[in-house]
Amino acid sequence: MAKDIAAFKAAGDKAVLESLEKIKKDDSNIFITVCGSSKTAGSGPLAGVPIALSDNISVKDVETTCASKILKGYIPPFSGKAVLDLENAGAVIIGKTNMTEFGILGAPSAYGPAQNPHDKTKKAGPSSAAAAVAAGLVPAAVSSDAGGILRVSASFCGTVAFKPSYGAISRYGLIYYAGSLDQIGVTAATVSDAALVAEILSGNDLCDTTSLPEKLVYTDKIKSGDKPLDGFRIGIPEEFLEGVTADVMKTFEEAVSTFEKLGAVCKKFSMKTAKYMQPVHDIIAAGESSAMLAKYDGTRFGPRAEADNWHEMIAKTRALFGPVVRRRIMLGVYLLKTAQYNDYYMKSMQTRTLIIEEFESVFQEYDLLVSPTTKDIAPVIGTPCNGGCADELSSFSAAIAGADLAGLPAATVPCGFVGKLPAGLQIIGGYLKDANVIAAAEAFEKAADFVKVQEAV
Amino acid sequence: MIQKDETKELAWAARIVVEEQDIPEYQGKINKKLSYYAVIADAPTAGVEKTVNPSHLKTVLRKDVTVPSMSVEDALKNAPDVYETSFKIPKIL
Amino acid sequence: MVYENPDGIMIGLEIHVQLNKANTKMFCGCTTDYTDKEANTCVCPGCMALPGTTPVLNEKTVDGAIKIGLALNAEIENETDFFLKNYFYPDIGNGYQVTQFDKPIIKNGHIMIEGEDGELKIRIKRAHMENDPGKMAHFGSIEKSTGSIIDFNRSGMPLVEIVTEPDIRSSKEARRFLDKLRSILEYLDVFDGSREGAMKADANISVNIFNGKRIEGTRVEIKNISSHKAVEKAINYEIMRQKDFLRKNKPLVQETRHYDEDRNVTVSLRVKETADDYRYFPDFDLVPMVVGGRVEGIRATLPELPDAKRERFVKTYGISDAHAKSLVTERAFADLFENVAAAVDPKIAASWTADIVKGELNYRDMPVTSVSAEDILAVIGMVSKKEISEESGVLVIRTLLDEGGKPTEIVSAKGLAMVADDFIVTAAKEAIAESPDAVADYKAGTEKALNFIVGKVMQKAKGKADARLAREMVLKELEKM
Repeated sequence: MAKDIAAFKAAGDKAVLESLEKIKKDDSNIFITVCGSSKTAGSGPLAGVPIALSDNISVKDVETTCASKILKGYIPPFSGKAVLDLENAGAVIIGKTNMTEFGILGAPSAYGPAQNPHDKTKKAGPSSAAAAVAAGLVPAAVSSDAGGILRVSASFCGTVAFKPSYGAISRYGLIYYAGSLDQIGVTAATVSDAALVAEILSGNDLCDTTSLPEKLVYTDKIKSGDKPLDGFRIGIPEEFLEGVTADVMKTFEEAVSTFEKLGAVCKKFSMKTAKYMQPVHDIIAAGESSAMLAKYDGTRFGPRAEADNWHEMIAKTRALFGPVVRRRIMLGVYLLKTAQYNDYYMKSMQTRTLIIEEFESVFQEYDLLVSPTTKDIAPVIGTPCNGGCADELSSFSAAIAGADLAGLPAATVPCGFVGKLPAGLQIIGGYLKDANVIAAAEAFEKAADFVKVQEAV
Repeated sequence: MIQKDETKELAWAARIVVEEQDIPEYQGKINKKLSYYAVIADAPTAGVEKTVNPSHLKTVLRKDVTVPSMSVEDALKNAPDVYETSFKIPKIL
Repeated sequence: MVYENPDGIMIGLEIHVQLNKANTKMFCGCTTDYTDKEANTCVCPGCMALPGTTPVLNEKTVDGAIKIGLALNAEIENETDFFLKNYFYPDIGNGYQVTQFDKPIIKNGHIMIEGEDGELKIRIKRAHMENDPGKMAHFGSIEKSTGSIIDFNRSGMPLVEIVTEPDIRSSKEARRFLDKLRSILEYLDVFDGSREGAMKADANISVNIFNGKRIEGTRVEIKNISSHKAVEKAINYEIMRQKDFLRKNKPLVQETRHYDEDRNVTVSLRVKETADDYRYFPDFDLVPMVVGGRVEGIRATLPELPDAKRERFVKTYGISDAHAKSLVTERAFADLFENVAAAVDPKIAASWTADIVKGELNYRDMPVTSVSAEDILAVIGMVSKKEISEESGVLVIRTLLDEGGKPTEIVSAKGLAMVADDFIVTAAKEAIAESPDAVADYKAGTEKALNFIVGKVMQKAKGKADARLAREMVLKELEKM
């Protein structure tokens, strides 16, 4: 199944062709567009390595749809910063992976759902980037992660995913629907590969105001020895465990004891702003998406519905959004209206401050927070997932919403199986303390030796 | 809670055609969200500053240096309708 | 004299100023120099609102706004931010305009203008930064068009919208305010008023006295007026219309109207059933802007502004206030004067630059750069050395504006040099010999007869003689007789 960057590199010149061949054979609807050829391979740390991108990252001259009918046929005239960074590192952009419409949770892809490589009757999650890695089609894939779409998919598919602190990776070229909540992340077979690619993508970009001035370095922070997490204080917010199934909880408890064996001190505690995290995330996501998705009007790009008046024309064109996206936009419009702005939107922006402040004080006491990445394993295709998808919420859980709202670095690493399907462990670090997250994830990965476990299955 | 007519107004304010028969479903789902949001009412936000973006950065400015514009072909290549080098649209009023 | 404002006119202006002296647009690196360019050739994915672009604010536009704030004697907000103003219109690709809301970068300023009854303070309520939409054109009139086209070259141009309190009491004061504002903006080098679409104004007008009694006026907004002259005319029309409605007891509606320049009328724009809700909320793609430290740096480099310059000209050069006022309206013109005044008597410099050069430039609608201080000094030099007459001096200026060339060349090409003194002595002798009757009359005490003889001398010199000198020579010759 999943193969790391070294394994692909070992195939040399054939890596890209083999990847293309496997993608062609794969029938699980992981890719929307395949675009790579080995002719485009360059030199650098990812020389000749095929990398996939979620279909909301713009690649010049390659159709980019966000899995929405409203972007059918749209060909960006420019490439995003992440794309340029990957190409400069020698990588080959092999194709664009399936996703929920615009990456919005619970919004079905216009191309239908992708299948989970571990069990084709199960969902691959909202970003098929993880499935592309889990199926061994690529060693790493890059995807947006608002609402946890990447981390959740990685948990469903048994891959590693890492999204750095907000601002570490330029969003230029990423077609986000909620700019203050989204950050590009990386999924890979191993923590070190995810860290390597994230490091390549990190760095200041003059095209994104929120881009951090300094490049974040991840790959040289990893300690070795028997107790690499000696002295680490790990917190477990009780609220992040609510609704978790017994099976997933079992994998989590084992993970906690693994951390303790690695030298960390783990402690449960309560976060009083936890109950606000998902509703605040939802309100902000709705408001921001009502503005971010206003540009899809059939005027400058994309399909256009027929009408003899422009306003009618755009209203008909915008009916190409799926129903979940339409409702999200309408909800956002409602929440931002002057009459209720203070009660919902303003209140949410203020509550967001309280959430960030509580995280700041929590990270005075703890180096990391851990929780199960998802409350349950991948659901059966056609059924809603356990975690708010049925209610069309913008985030999977309080833990995920909280990390988005505060812009915290977070990773998921496989931590066991429930039947055939993997479960994931989420590790959240303090703002700009990305190296802690990577160090803990890598130590855990080594100790749990999950790669071997996976192969045994 | 929003009413049926308000739901239709919202659809128009968002410039999205929603079929008449779908309006009750939209109304219901939006109202369900509004009920769900009730929990934030007790957040102690009196006097708390708003957070717009989790970035801690301030005053990020760009130097006033020109960057070449796109070619007009690139600018127009996705256009549904074009008149000379302009985007053509149906009448506005 | 106190201006009574018999109709209780209250006018407030909202002026949109393009910071078109910046090289690049507000949030992207596209050029601001799009005038005369083919449609959609000065655009990038950002200003064309393609998916996946992120804005980054141009430093020059922030500094430009700060300059304006300081020049308007206003407070500069230390920490400010941007909001999204949401509405659907084809020229605003994103579906929102990036603007400022509750914390505009500039507030509480003022400008002094020459009011109906002397100096008048016009308060500036606020000024905020925002971006310009693209430009639309319609096939046929907007009401009856079959379709429209959009050009995004203008999209993303940096704007500052300046909002006054309703302190203006007449169309003339509105015009003077705009002239003064434009002059200040050009001094600051943030704005070139000669470019198309550089300045647009909305005017809020109400008549608040009727039949000598104070009434609750109805505020009518006229949108998007494109020239100072049109503002004056639109306001005049609107005041007349409102007074007419009041006289006829017709109800006035608080509304937005459009000024039709060709017909010189204001027309109602479609009244909407419900007021627009722009759903303002903070722009989550940008971070807060702290201007603090920049302000003092900019203040230190702020140029001397028109009012200060006018005062200094009167004080330092001893020229009249009328001359000073005329000289300072344009910074380059004031500089021209100072360059001339550095070499000659400032009063002579003022009279040549303000009275003659400015008049000739305005008459030809030519910019100050069409004439140099060296040329003016050369002319003044020749006149004062009596090498040419004053009339010839004016002719030299006109010629160099119309045909080019150097003053000395023009003087020789046109043969404008004054004739020599001995030529005048000879001419005087001849004129006396040729006019025995006039000489007799003069001797008999008819002073006027002298003019006839002097006139004859001037004729002989073909105008290239100093009239006073000619008169002296004639008198001298007559005394010898």
